[in-house]
Amino acid sequence: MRTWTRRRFLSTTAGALASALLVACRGGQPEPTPAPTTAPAAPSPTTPPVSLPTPVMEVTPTPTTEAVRRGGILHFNLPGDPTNLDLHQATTSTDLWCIGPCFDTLLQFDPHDQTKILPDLAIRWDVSADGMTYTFYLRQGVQFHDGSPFTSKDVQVNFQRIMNPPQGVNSPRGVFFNTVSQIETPDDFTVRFLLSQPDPALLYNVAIPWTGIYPAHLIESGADLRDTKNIIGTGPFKFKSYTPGVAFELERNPNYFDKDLPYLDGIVGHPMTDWNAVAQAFLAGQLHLYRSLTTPPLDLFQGKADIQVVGVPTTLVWRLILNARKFEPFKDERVRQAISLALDREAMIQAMTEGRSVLSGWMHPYGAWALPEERVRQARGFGKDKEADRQQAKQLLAEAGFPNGLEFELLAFNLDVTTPSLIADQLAQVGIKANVQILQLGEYVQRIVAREYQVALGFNAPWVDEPKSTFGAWITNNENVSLTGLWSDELIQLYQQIERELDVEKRKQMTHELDFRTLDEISFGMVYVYRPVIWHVFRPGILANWTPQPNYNLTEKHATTWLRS
Amino acid sequence: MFLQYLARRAIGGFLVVLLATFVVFVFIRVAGDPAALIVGGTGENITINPERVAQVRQQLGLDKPLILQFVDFLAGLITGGLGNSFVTGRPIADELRVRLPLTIEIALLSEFTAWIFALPLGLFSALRRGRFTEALTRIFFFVASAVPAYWLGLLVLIFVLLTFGWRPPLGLVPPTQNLWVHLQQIALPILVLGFVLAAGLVRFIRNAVLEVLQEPFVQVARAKGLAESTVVMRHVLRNAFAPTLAFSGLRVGYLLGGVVIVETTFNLPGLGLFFVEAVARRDFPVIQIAVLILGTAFVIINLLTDIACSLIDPRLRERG
Repeated sequence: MRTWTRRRFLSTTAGALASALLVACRGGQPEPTPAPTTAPAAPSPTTPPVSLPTPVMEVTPTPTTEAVRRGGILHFNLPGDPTNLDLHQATTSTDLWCIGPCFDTLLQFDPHDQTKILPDLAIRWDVSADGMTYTFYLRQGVQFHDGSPFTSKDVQVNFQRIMNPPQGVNSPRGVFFNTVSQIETPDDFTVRFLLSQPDPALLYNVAIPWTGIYPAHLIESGADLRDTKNIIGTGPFKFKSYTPGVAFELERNPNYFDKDLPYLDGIVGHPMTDWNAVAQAFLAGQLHLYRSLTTPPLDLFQGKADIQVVGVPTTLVWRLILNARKFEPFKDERVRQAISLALDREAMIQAMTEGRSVLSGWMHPYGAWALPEERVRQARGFGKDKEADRQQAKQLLAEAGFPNGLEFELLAFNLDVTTPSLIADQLAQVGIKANVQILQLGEYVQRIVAREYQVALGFNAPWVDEPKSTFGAWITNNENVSLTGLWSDELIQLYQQIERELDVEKRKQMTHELDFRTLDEISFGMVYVYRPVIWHVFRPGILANWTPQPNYNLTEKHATTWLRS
Repeated sequence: MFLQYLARRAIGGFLVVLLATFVVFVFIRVAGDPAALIVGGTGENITINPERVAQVRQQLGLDKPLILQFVDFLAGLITGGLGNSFVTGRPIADELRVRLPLTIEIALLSEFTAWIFALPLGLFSALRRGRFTEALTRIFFFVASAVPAYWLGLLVLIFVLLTFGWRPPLGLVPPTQNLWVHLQQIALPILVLGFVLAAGLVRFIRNAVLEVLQEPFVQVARAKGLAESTVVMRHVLRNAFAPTLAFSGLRVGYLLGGVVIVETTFNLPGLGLFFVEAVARRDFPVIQIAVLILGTAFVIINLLTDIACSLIDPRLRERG
């Protein structure tokens, strides 16, 4: 586990986790500041977009009387060098941590409560009664870092680039906007999205930081946006310098639309691939904050009351992908069920997350769509009596014609070598022999793309905790998209209803139904394993107005973060 | 004669590098597809659109026949420099600007430090063979050769941190900008790697000196009544030096491996990490440049070592 290679992989694959946009953690109240923060100035939206937030985690609240201290540079770790500095193409948290603060989006998630959507470049929005038209009213007087003014044309050109990327540009989130048929700009400060079908997920998708807005003229010039000189947005920070392997530096944008923000003078990300080095640098006071996917060296922090270590379940879920095209027995539902029954999820949560994760469905346990734990436990294989589950698994295998068990290859990549061996061990207890094959990420992805695997361990990694993002990629009967060759037409219909349902409460009920049934039935060949955690280490006495989130992608603008010393 | 020898070695070296580059060129293309990684991000988003992958392959020129790709790569080297990374799109030359000098600096200074540790210890332990003090030096090199660099580095870092609350400043400040900070950043990795490298060297020097001590010319020197220090410095050491230097030259690979490890442990932005990340990301152009640079370094250092040896020992030159 502590080998060099693994660390390297953690660093590159932190991106994987990065792309998971999670919901819901409410911390201390943001302190009153002499001037308003980004959001409160804006009028309320005419249509409230999401359900009520669920408070989940108490983080030392900041005393409300405290005045904001301005200035200072925030230092944190990057799990490696950024790979793609074009926000629309980028996929890793490292990329976002570097350039996210340079950009604004139409809407944004509340940095203290990710179930809330707040205004950003759009100060208000409304949705037509049929859910087919979304109109955004834009903030006026906003300037890009290059001095050009922000208008509706910028929004139009950016979303067109995201939806229909030009040759040579890879837009992984273009599919989010597959319901948008047209974008109109009735005037300089109004943008209208016309949809081909109702899509309540749209408001989430224009709020994710990956849909940040560049100046239209820059996109139209065909410039390579991966180039550091083209990191031009309207965000609270501007690009300052980047030395590969050394530091990625941002400085305060003095022309930010909220004249009072940001509080910090700058942000520096330090690419560090060795987690020990990160922990030491934090202890030595060189970093204000560090985040990792591996458990931090808790012993080093013991007895240090000023340090807070928080492990938060992520939006990512480890899952087993049973490929019925390459392994005939998976066509039998009893075999798939036996595999799910054999897994001891609670044991894995204990072993892999120091007990900090929780048993949940596919939707995030602290989010607005969470399947209640008592319901999760009703799903087959999620109950408390593991011995009974194992007996049942053996019986199902016998009924399916495999009384002596069966054997298959389990493909995994070297981000985490313990989870696959734990799985193999648990499967062995019901007579299933899983031959674990750990590959380098490149090879693994190649095999997945070619569908050359019997069983693969991978993430379900939604960009945001929202049903379309969580289920869209695998609740499908498209042969080219399906990773397993298995589906249920009934559940696909249910999913399609969820996609269009405008009533929040109904949508939630249907999401619960889909979540439960995909845990319970394995009809898509996807077996839920467990949800890993993201670790946040920081000194609450120094880092102020910052809330650790289950998904660190959404909190990275740091417009209102400040340092006490 | 000597020039001819040099020319032969240079041509041989060139062919070795070319061959190594070609072999790696072919093999990395067998093991993993960068296009899939680029489209799929970093593994989480595995529902990859095969059409997009094909498109990216075409953009990167990966759909051409292998041999054409290799010719393109060589032509690029001759005409347009080192090319761009597949993954980041950044020019490889930009990355090397910071990383290459640092790796060379760490490698040279660590090797130098190793010699400073090893030369007196090796000599001492040979001359004091069988005595108690020799046992002490043997303990040193047993320990040093058993300790991996990353572990020692970690230990040193934690010790310094917990004892003095100090850690080398993050990142890398160029020596021209602030020499003092630069030295703080590289001192510990150099000491650690130098110490680990010294282990093998001490043992080699000791054996080389012992061997020379048996030679008749040493007895002759002593019989002539030369002072023991003169015998050791002028006759023994000089003769033991050539094989040790050759040994050192052959260990370039080991040295570079050590550099990669301390770069990671001490978080220094050298070549090592850059190249290893490139392998994981299937960033072909970077891997090819890596092989080219490391291969060339290997060949040049071996050549220089041979030249140095033949300068020290004229017999080697004659044998050519």
